[in-house]
Amino acid sequence: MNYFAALGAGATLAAAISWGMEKCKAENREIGIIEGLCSLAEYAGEQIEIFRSPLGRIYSDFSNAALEREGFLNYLENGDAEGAIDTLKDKVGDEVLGITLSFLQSLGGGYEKGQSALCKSTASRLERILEDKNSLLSEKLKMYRLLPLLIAGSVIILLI
Amino acid sequence: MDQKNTNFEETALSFLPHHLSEAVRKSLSLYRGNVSELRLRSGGAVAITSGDKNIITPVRCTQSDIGYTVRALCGNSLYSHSETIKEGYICTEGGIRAGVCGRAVTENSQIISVTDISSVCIRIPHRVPGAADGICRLVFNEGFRGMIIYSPPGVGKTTALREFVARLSQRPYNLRIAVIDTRFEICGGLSEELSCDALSGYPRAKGMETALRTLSPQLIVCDEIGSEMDSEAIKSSFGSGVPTVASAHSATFAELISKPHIKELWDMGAFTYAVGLKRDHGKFELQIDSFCPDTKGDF
Repeated sequence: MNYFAALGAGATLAAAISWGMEKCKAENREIGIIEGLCSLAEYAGEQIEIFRSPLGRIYSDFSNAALEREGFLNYLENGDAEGAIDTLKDKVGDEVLGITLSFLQSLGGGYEKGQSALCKSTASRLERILEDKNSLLSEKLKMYRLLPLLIAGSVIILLI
Repeated sequence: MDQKNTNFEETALSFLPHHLSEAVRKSLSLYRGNVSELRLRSGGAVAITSGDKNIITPVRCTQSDIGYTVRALCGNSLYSHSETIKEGYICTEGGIRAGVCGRAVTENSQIISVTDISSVCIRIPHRVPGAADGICRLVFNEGFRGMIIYSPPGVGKTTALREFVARLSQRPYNLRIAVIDTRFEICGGLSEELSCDALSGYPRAKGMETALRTLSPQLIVCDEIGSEMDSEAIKSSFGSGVPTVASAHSATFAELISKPHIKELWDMGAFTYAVGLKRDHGKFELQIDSFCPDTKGDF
């Protein structure tokens, strides 16, 4: 009986720690993606305002490790905004997805003043979300580390 | 049927929404290789220009089709074409040029932007081998100092200039030619076939100055001159001993000479020949006036 309880307790602990680690990773990943999207909006704004570079060139010249890892930039280079957004589903919140989709769909469809303003407003909206996320990040990470341990601890006490 | 011309037609069709390009492709199959323009008007039928004929197709075009086409012509980057849209055209990376018009927004009589684009005329560049044979012969006449080619719009001045450059920049002539391609029309999409120095997008006067200073051309070619600045630049080129071959809109020699800046150039001898261009069943006919009276006449 004790042997099975110890085994169950070990499994519960491992699962709880793994869940906590995944959640921490997902939080950091989301922040990395939002930072990447912010950089994209800022970079596009600069390129449009200063060089009037065509979108194709902006997308192919832009690089960001987080967005590249998700495959987002590949879709963008092929002009597939919806496909690019699909790569971020379940990785960032609906608000970020909505802002990004609307940005990508409007980009290229107007003259420089409007496009430059679009890039600036998109970057600032994403930055606000990023600030909120960052301010809660340390608390959340702490919670994702402690919560599974507490739950696992409770389960182990019940089992033993 | 010229493969290159057919490719340009296919490129032009690629800018249209799928349903429109499929329908237009059927109409185009009758005129393949000879289509010079595709004309789209919001709420109207798509028209094709083939030779000197305007053909109205049964395909109708909506405002949203025009919006799609304009965005595609701009490579999904309207802002990067805002300056040329103000001038009434869009040049694509594939060498296609489209004329556009809509509602102009003005400030102090200057167009600051064009919105609600309602008409698009996609001009398909052509190679017409042999189109410039008559003109090329004139260049090697003794005392050649320059030439102005004139015709009403759509007859083929740019096509003739393009062939002219293609012939004279290659063997056996191998002339060093600088092309001031302000509107990307002469060399657009054909830069690999034309062995010349293409100053694409340069204002004519600035392009000529740059060519003279840095490229040591034997001949300068430019399209659609008429302004005082153009005239000053040609004078400067003439003074430097480099002849200019230019084109201008005009139906007759008398009309051409009635333009003060062109008359000034003619009177000072910057052009040895004025070549009137006509097109009969796709074949070019030249009416040549010469600064030297003994060479005046039909070619």
